[in-house]
Amino acid sequence: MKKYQAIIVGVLLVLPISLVLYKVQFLNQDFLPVGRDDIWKIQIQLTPLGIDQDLVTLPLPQSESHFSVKRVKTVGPAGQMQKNTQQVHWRGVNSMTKLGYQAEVQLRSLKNRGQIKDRKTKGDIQRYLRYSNLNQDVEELLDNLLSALIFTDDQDKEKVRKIFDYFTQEVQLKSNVTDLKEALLSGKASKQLQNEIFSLLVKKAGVPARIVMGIFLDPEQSSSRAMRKSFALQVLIGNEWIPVDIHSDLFGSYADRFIPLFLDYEKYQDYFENPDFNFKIFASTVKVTKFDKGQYGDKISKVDSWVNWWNLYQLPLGIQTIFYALFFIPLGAVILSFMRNMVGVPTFGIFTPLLLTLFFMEAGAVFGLIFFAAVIIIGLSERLWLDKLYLLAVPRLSILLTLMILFLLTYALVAHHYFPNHKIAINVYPVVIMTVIIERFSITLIENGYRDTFKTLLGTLSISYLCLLVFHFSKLQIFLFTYPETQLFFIGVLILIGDYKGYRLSEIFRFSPFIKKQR
Amino acid sequence: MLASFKKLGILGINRRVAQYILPNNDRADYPVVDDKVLTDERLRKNGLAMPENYAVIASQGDLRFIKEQLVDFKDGFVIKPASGSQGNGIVVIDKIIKEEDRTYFVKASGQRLVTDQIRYHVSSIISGLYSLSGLTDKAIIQEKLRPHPIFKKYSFGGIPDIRVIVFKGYPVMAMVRLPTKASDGKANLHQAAVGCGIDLKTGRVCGAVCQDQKIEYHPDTKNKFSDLVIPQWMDILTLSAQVFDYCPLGYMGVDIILDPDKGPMILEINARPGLSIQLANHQGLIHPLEAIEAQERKGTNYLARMAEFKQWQGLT
Repeated sequence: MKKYQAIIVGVLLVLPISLVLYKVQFLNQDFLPVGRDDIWKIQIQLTPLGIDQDLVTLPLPQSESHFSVKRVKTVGPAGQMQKNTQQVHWRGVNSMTKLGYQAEVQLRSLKNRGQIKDRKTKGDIQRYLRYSNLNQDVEELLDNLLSALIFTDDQDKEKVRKIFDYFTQEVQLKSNVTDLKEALLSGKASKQLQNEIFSLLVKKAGVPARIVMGIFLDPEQSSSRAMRKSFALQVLIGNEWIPVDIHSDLFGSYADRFIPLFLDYEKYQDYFENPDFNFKIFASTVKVTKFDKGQYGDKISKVDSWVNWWNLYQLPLGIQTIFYALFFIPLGAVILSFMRNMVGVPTFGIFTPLLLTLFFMEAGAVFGLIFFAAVIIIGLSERLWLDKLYLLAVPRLSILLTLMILFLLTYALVAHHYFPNHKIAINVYPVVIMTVIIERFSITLIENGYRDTFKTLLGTLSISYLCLLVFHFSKLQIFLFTYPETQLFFIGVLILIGDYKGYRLSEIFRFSPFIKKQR
Repeated sequence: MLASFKKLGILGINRRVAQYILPNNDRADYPVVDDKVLTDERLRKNGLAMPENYAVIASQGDLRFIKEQLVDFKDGFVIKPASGSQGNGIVVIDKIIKEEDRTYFVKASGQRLVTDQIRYHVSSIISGLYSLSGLTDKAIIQEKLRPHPIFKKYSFGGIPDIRVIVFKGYPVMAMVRLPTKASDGKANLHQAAVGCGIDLKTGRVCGAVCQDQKIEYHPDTKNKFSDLVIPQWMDILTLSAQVFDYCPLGYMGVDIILDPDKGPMILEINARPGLSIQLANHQGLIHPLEAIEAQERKGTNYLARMAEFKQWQGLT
């Protein structure tokens, strides 16, 4: 390597590292944004139907140890709204006016639990001891059950615990038992009825109780959809509301992915069961990266330094997204150059493996490969069939391209009609790439035979998957985006690879018979 | 292992490109070697022997009368892309036969092609299917040379050709490529032809390789390669050195065919010759290349260079 070349490479390698260290050490910039991988958007919609309402109140979600509420944005006429941290009111609401809020909640992992919020009660607790009138028979059954479960001189906590144990150990779940008396006689009840009986027993034992309504954020169903109501309970012990979930056998905490939205279900029951209101809850995972880019970007942008001139977080979001994806390509090119020039892996075309990687990123590693294999087989059959027509090369290639698009269309329609839950992954440019690959594939097959063709195909796919594996690390992606100067580092590495005059790994295998003989 | 490679002077692809091709081959000279029509124009004009180009087909419109153009060449012909590489797209037609009003073009392997197939192949060549750059190309209909009888025992169909690596105008290493049944009569190592290294001083075969594996006998004819001595050897080397005078690529491969009547003829020139020649010769390229670089080179034309070459080899 020439001296000036070595200097350029040195600068290209050292400068980005120095800049990263400068940002982290001297500007006290966080090395990477904090991960936020379980963020959901919850949307509450409440629409008065038919008649105008003097007052509509919605409680706002409050952070718990297992989740935190990030942002709450209310929906509805701002002029009629009053809001505090606990709830939001609208006065004089006309019918058909959409009210509600959107909240972003972040579920915390077990090791990342927050402090338990103050659950001390405020205001009148007597109403949590009251319950609606019951039949004489039911009253008697409840009293008998209660006297069998607890002693009158038990502490509140003991009483509740004994009732809780009875439910978790003896009451059976039977979803079609919704009648109170039948449930008390049979010891079987639906989930909701069990909550009601638990609440009644606790209240009868002199301990305030309330049913909590919320939603269960199922990670398997992350796309936006209407959610079913889910329930838990709270009991007031020693002036503090303690969460209880008799179905998950939890005393003192909620189920992991349960988000309480209405702490006093009965108070707001009108909204859910009254035909004067239309009430809906939607939830979906937030479609952002797994990192809190926004917050991190704001933090970086506030740093007063010349290095902020190329801070990409200041660009419009659309441009940011483009660079977010683009910055992987030079890294992929480094891998590709290494694999081709130092390992000696053969590929179809030069950048085909990288383009295939982008396709696999969209379609998924396994599905992408199945799809790729299917397209290769179909494309090759088409090509062999077209060979018999003796068509000119360009129209023939164009027919192949069109047939490929028709194949994709068939796939999309079949998926739509027969597999509605399947996420259709089609991207425009890989179609063209695949057409070219098939053309190259079939020519290599005819000219060089199966061995060379499959070797090249394997080489193309292996580089493609290697890049996919590297691209999989989202922390790396955000690192490249946060420190654009690393692209200079890649140029330095590429010069080093480009200057490599040594043997390729494949040549060692190729020439080894020669060595053996010479020895 | 790497130490052995260096000791034996094996040239790898990276070093070939960075140390020999890039500094010695001017990009401006590439079109002359990458387009066989231009190669023919340049060398033939200067009196170098080359097979005759019967026709050059450059447009799809010329394909209409291809049958009429080709039927006269009853002794066969070769179809090749002007800008092809690694022998891709070359079809050798041995003879033309007529049966029940149908014309068949018979390949070296015995496979019969009808006019439509020939037209389709030529059309594919013109469309750029085999072209180095992928751009549109020209199809050359070339005289089919006859193999020298010396090769009869050592090849299966097709015509053997001789590759000479010429460095700064001096021959460095040579091999003869012998077609096999598996190579479909083509003298292409990628397609399973045999490569035999040749001793530069004597023209005697000094080693053989097929599919990167060393062999001693031809896979089809079973004859031993070490008995083969290439006739007109010095003429062949002189012709290869002469190419440099008109096509000044510092590092190139010159492919030569030995015709029994016309003698050595240049088939094509390659600006990026492959490295299998080392396996065929059981010798690395680096030491001979370095030896030429170390010599005081005065020759300004091929005759002077060949005189120097002979002196270095102890032939004079």
